[in-house]
Amino acid sequence: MNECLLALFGGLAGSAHCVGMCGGLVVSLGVRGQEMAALRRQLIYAAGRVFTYSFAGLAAGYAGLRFGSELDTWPAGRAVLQLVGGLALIVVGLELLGLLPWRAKGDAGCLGPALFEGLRGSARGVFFAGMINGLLPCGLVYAWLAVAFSTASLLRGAAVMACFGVGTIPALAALGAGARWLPCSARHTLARVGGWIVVGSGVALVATAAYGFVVTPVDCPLCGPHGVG
Amino acid sequence: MTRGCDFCGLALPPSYWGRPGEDAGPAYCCFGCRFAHAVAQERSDRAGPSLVLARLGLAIFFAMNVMAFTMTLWSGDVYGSEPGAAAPLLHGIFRWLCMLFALPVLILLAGPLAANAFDALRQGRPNIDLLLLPGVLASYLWSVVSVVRDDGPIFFEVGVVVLVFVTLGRWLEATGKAKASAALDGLRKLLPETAHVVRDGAESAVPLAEVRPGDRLRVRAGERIPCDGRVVAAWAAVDEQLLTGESAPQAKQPGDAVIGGTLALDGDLVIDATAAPDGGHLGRLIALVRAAGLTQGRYQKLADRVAGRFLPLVALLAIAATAYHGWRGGVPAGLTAGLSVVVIACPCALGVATPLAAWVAVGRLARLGVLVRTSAALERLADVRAVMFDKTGTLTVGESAVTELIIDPAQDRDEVLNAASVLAGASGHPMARAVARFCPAQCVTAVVGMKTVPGRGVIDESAGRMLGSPAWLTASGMHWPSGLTNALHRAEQTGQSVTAIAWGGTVRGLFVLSERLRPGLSDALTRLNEMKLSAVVLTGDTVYRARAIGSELGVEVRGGLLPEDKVRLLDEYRARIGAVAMVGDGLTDAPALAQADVGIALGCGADVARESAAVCLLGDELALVPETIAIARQTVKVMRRNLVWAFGYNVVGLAWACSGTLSPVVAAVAMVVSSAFVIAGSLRLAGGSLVAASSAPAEVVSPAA
Repeated sequence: MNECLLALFGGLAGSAHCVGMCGGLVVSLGVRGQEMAALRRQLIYAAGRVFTYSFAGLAAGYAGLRFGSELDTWPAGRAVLQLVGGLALIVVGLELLGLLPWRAKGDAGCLGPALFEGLRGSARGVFFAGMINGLLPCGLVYAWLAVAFSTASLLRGAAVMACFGVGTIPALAALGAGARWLPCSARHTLARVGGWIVVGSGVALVATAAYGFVVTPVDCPLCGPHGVG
Repeated sequence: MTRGCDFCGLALPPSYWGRPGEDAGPAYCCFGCRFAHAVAQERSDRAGPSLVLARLGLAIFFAMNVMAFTMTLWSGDVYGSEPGAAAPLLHGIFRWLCMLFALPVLILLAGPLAANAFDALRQGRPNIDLLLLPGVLASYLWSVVSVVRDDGPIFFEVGVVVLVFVTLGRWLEATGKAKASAALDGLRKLLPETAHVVRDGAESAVPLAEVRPGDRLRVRAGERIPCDGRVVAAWAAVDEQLLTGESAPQAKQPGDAVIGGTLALDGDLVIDATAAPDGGHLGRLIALVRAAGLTQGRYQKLADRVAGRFLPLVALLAIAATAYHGWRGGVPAGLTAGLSVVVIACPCALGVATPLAAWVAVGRLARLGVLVRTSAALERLADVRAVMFDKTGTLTVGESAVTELIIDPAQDRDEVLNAASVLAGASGHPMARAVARFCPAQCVTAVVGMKTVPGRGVIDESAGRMLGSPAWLTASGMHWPSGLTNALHRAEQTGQSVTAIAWGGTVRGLFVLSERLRPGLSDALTRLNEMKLSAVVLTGDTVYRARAIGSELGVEVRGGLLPEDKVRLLDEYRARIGAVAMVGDGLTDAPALAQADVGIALGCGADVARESAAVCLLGDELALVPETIAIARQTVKVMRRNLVWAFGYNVVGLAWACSGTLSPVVAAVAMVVSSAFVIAGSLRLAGGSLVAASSAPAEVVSPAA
């Protein structure tokens, strides 16, 4: 379950990024003044988001499972998945930090905003609006989906993404409910910390994969089994 | 003209059996438009959440759950490793859960889909949803029976995903069509949203739609005038360039007419509305643009012909695939194969492949001040290989001026001027007008019996006086005094235009005219050259003058042409090079404009109803000629690409689906991606200048802040 803890912290630390990208959406949910009502609404919204993340995590886990079963002939199949997930995390982390020469282009499509606009108005719609928010393209989400993929398990994949989603709730819900957010400089620092945590998680995962390769006698698919008599 | 869809305005498919009178209810071209219209109506009815969208949201929620349970069933990951009796029990529970979450999706989404399909059927326009629904229902039914009997495969996820993606995809299409339709009405953006109405001395802002003829309106400096009207107080300079082509601001004072959509630059105006905002000059313009959008070019006719046979073909294929695969691999295999065929078939991509691109392009051109009368003209413009310019009124700025008057020494100067001014006053030709301006005005006396000889000059038959081209005077038997002959040769060798006056068998005087070429002309010619278009200038001037212009501009100039020569030359070029566009002012060169593959008339802003040319430039900005051709080429490229995609996608997709190896889930996603590709490609036409030009007046549309 250590991926889940990692994802929870990743979500918490990634909040600065979330506030930048999705802050406008949560603020637009409205309900000024009554803080409790606003908070309740934000939590329902967040539940919708976490639902989508969990579903995506489950699907990623399923994909990992199917992909892993293709790799069954490799003793270190699981380590391969972790390697893929870890590298993806590192790439996304570096991208968040602005250390890559290219910038990912986010295109929210044209239906997402329309759906979101139509749904955010009421308590009934707000859960679905959160669901749609969860579908918006986001580097952080993709990074943790890679981890969910590497679990090669439906439940664990879903759990990783749910934990990530829960981790993002405090900052976003508080912002939406009217809390004053940190000053700009602090936010900037936090965003960098979040980026490094993603990179660190990636490195940890790659290290786990490397360990997996070491303890499992790896049969090279080209040159056949070696060693271990 | 067939009736347009109530949401996107696209022409409805022809009705097979519905009687015209029965079309009273709302009619939509597809389920997406019905859906999008419901969403839009809800939004305008009341602020708040949309129930229609909430249904869709709920359906997506259930669909995600169904997918989650299905993946669990497929993998056996959650319970597979458990030994003992738990696994079969859990397996059964997940099957029931699948069903539990799948049934609401059927109720939420299949209902509206079915309602639309039956309405369309009643109106005689059967659509593909009629095939989709039985497929989805059958897959549900089979799965329900399997769950209840606790035996046999289930495939709720197929029905669920198909319903969600079909709804999303059709909605996406409708949104794209509505956007293209809005682009067609882009000129409407020239009107402000509210107008300041003055009633009983008090001023109030009212929505534009409530402005009526007779209302007194105040227009502040920097605002656009909301409707046609007459100034009753104050004065201001008004920028009318976009609608009349007049580049200099027009000073408006009480009594002057103003046009809706033009911009008051430097002062407040009080006007009495003479037309509703939707009527008047701008309204006519918008109506013309919309009418152009609804005409069908050859590509659209082709797509429509195919689309007409599409539905029966898909129905046959679906039935055949269901029967074949059902016979080979059991009912579930047959059902999924049939459903795949119906889902992958995308008549929508065919239907919107060309009109969307045409709409966006026509709308964009209208905002640049170019009115294209038909989609077919746009397509022909893309094929143009040569562009011919009529020199007079097209390439020269304003009017030429008389720079020299040479008189036979034996002649009285005042008499020549007097006679010339009388003759020149009777003709609208630019050279005659220049002569008229040169002559003192007080000596004009009205004379009857004047006759204009096209391309040659004016003759006063009663007095036997002629004003016109030297060649014509010579041909009419006029004698040239030697001084004048020398002057004529001199002028002709330097390429200047000359008009001469003669009576009593002798030429009496020569007017030497010079003209300025329009600024920006050489840029436009360079760009045409870069686009591999031959540019040719036609003129009635002498060959010498033509040569001089030709060397100044660096293009081929053909001189000494009469109107009928221009038409002949046009045919010659068409035979030699290909399709020819003719640019002219639409007045003196109407026959050539009509004869060309595409006639482009300049400066018809004041008179848009003039039917002289297929393409009308409201202004006289020549840079718009290459820009328009570039947009036309780009549009046709997008149309072709869309058509190739739509045909290719359908052929490959249908073949794959018929083979029985394509999952309906994949088909549903592919269908949405295909539509998105076609729509996004067409909508992209709306942006950016296609010709790298600094002088293209793309900025003129931006409404004043």
